[in-house]
Amino acid sequence: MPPAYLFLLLSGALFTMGAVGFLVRRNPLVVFMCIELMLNAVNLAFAAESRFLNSLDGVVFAFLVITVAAAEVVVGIAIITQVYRAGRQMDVDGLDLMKE
Amino acid sequence: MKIDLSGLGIDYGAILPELIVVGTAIVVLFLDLLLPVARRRWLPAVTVVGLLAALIASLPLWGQNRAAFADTVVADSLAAFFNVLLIVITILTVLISPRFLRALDLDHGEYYILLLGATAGMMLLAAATSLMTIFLGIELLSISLYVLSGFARSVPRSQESALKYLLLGGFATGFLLYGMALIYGATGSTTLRGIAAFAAASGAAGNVLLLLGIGFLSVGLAFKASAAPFHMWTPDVYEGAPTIVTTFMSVATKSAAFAAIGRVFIATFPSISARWYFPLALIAIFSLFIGNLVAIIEDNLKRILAYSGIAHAGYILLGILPGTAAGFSASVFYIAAYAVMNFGAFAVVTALGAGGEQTADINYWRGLFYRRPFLATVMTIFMLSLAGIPPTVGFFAKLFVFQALVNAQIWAPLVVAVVMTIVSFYYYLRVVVVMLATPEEAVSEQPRVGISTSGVLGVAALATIALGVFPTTVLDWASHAASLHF
Repeated sequence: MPPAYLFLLLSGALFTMGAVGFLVRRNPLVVFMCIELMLNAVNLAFAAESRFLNSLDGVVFAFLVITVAAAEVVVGIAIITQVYRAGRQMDVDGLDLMKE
Repeated sequence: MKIDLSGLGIDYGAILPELIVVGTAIVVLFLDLLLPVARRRWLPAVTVVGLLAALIASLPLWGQNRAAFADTVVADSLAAFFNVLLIVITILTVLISPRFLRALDLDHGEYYILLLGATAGMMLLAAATSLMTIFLGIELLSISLYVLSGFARSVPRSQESALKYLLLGGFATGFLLYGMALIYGATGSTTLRGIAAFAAASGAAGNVLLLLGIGFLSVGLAFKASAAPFHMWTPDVYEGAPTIVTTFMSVATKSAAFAAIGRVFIATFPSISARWYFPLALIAIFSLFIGNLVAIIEDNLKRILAYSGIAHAGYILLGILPGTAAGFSASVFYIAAYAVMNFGAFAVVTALGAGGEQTADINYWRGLFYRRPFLATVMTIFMLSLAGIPPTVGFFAKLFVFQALVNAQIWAPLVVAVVMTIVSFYYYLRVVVVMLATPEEAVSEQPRVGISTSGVLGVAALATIALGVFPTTVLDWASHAASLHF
């Protein structure tokens, strides 16, 4: 079994990749996928900690995150589709109706 | 095999108000399917009845300290206080909704279901004593509000508002969860009681994993409370969302988020307050600066109120800084005051527009005193209260927070807050002055506001003044609610 900090480092790397991707990517769908990557990094951390702490809370939490993320995706894809169907560009930089 | 459930602490009485709200949402969902279009008016009526039942069910929780469901929720005075506050806000929102929705051609039953879902999430957040329930509460209210802010589906601004809120909200959720994962890794517990026990032990103040976790968690919570520098979404989402939704979320989300912030910082981490004091003070000062200064240059009333909301998040955070129940009680009082006066201000924008978006432009408000004396009068009361001028409730809210800072000998944030309060007079009074100015040209007359809308506005205005004249009762309630103990 590798030491615990390696799992946390991997989780941290995935989280950072997600966060950086969120900031630099332009397509709302890809941006949304980056958020999912961040959530998966969290799940990895929870599962690994659960194993090393010998407590089940972390695994339960990970399942909770998966379930809630699924609900968020349902709503998110619907909202993105709505914007897409209105004929707007699929580019988050184009969302500037409310900038003076 | 018999499964033993006794250790789980199943206690439906402790979450009865939440259950009633969720149950009402399900009833409304089916009624929406079954009722003919002509009977649509029943939906808001059923919603209000369900909310009233939840309000009554919340009252017995006052004075209890009843941990339930393996320490994940608690039925205590703080939960009861916020339940009542949130339910009253929701009832008032529902009362002014039908007229606004019909004017916008948005009269769908889903609106009430989502509103009830968001309310249930906020109530859960206020009662949450575990990282899991805090997360669930935040997501329940956020996902409902993502849809609500895009409820005007064909309006590009509303779509954009929903997309921005969704993406930035999801980003903040990622930080919140990462913080929770780190805290769990450091302490081995997901309940606030277990985490507090770990934090009280020696050596916790030097635990890097725990401190990082608290930092990430604070980012997520500050986002929900729209405190700077995590406020970027606030003006755009508030402006683009249908005004009635903005009215609801500007006050309700912030109240629930601060209930959770209080439980996390005041009840869970008082032992390491030296570590979180400085970052939290910076967030409060940032909020005061950005909120009050940017509000000056905005010309759209929804955006002015959005920045004013960011500033008020700063004032509420000031009460958390001392890290004591006494300071937190000032915050709780401030939240109640903010809820009343900010709800009123946004409700006037809703009533005046009845759906039109151009009415949020401050030029439209020129000479409102001569066209719509009632709306202009109540708006003046709300503006004076938000600015903090006696004898309104806004004055005492600021006074109690400042007093808490003086008692705790916290000077630098206090000076910033006082100076920024003076700055804020400019943009609040500007609205009043504009309403008093003589109109340049005749503006097309809007239809009159209905009885329920004027009633709600009248109640909010009366409460703003009455709480300012007799603040002690509510302050007693706030101090009782804020005396958290694990």
